[in-house]
Amino acid sequence: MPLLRTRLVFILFLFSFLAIIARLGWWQIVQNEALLTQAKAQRWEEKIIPAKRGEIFFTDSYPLASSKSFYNLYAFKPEIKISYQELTEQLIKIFPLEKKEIQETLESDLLWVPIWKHLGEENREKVLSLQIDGLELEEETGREYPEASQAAHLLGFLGKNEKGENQGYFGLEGYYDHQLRGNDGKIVQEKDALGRPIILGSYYKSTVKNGIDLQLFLDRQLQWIAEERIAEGTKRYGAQKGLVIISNPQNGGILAMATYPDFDPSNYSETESKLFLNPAISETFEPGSIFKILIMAAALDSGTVTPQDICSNCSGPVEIGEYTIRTWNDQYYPESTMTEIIQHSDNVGMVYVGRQLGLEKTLAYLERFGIGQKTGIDLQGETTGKFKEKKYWSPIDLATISFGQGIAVTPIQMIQVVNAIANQGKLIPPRVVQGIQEKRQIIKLKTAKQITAMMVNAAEQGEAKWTKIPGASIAGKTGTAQIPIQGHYDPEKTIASFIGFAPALKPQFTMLVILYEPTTSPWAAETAAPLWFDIAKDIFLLKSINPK
Amino acid sequence: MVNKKKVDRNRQLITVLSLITLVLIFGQVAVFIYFGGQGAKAAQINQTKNDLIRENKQLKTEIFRQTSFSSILEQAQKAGFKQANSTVYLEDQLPMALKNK
Repeated sequence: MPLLRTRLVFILFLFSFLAIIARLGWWQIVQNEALLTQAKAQRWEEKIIPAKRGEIFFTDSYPLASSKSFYNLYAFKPEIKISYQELTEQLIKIFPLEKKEIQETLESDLLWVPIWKHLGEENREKVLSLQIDGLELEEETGREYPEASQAAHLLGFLGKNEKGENQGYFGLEGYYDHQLRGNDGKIVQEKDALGRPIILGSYYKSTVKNGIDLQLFLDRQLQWIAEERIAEGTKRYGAQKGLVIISNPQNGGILAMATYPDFDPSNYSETESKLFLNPAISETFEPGSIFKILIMAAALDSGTVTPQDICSNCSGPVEIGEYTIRTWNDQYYPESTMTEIIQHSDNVGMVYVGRQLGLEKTLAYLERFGIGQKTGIDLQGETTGKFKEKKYWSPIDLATISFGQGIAVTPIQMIQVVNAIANQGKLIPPRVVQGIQEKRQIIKLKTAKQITAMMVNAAEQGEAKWTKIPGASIAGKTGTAQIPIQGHYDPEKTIASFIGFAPALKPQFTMLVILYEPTTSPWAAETAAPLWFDIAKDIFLLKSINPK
Repeated sequence: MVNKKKVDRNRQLITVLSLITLVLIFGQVAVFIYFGGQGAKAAQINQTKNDLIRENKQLKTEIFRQTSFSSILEQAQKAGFKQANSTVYLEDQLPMALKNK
């Protein structure tokens, strides 16, 4: 009997030990990871310090895009101490949410349920004032646009990538995304049972690296004017869309870039995606007569012609193979000088210049001016038109390119060309963020002066002379280009443009205005040119530039 | 024969060491109690700092909102300002001597 009792006690102890060992094994082996995580969560507080996205400033240091905190509201169900019904009642007092919707969310299987996203500061205060346990606010960085949709195409927008992280798309936000983003920091600190930090406890910190701020060449006043004017002009001339680029020829800085219609970067999800493309850099067009200044500059620079040379075949249409080239108004000016060819925007005269220049030199100068290559502007989404190989060029191609047809360029490439002329023959790539750009002499100073004089004459005596600013010294050129559609040109639709700089002898700005498919008149002299001069008048006034 | 003097000295030494140990223990407890309380204070300071940063940011945003061109335009229109219809450029005045020529 005593032996039996001893055995029973032994067996009891044995099972007890086995049970304890099994339980310890369960905790230490099977539940190891979960318990470790729980212990860490009890002992350590890990806090991510989100990097502040770099801000983007106009040249006067006013923000074009600044960082702003938004909050996502979550309910952590295990910590909620009131009934779901009571919680719902409290929440619908401050949020425009359906009672049923909140209750369904709270009754889901999740422990951590999202209630409302993208709360502003005001709503955050309201949530905090409720003082309800279990309601958590998660901070996220977003964008604030003090000038609303200004320079939207140039700016791009801040969206979310597939991981749900902030990512810049298009324009500056896309191009400088990596630099603007920065790197998040982290603080890991020991905490006590009440969740307060232990001063003498362990503490690890990885430093947050905020994104860099961008200081632009963009002028707030000019941008405002450009946006107002292009919106008004596009409507006035019944155009599909309009575009203005204003640049500083001395440093290639973009002072304004406006497109109409534009979009609201803070509401990008409600915008048609085709509107995100910036036509100034992402769309090519046939430039038409504004391209004549480039071909003429090439002919002058290579010594092929001089401003006083006479055109020997300007008395009527020119036949090239099966094609007949005419002037825009079917008027002909025999014995025209090169200056008069630009003044009259004479296609036939330009065919003469193109023939004198020849294919070899034409292609060489196109390359020098950066046509067919991206300008390298610091905006995401730049494109370029491409040339066909030299062996495929025919005489009609050389003829049409001389007056800006049969070639595709981007508006920003045309600004680069005119900047080089205004900048005494030195080419500077266009740039949006302030920085120093290298200059490259691509045509002689003398050529730049000659072509400037021709452009001044064209602005004063050409078909847009009715709209000029009296007494102002402006170098400019109109361009009316037909639109190629399925292998032929649309007989009615045009792209009207005016490009130039002022004051002609000491240029402070270059500007390009383009109106796509204007309906009040197809001609640039009656649409883009008056708009150009209207904007120029505002610039003279605001920037105290003596237009003479 | 046990040296009584030596025993007394050892006893005294143990007493002193015990006292030092006790002082150290209580000291450590006191220090930890003190810094334990400071943790809450540190958390409070951190919270205040974050609130001030947030408020500063809000004020900055408000200043930018108030000084945006669209806001200025709205205020100017309310105040009765109108867009200028035409611009007159004033010429540099010629010296009297040249004027008389």
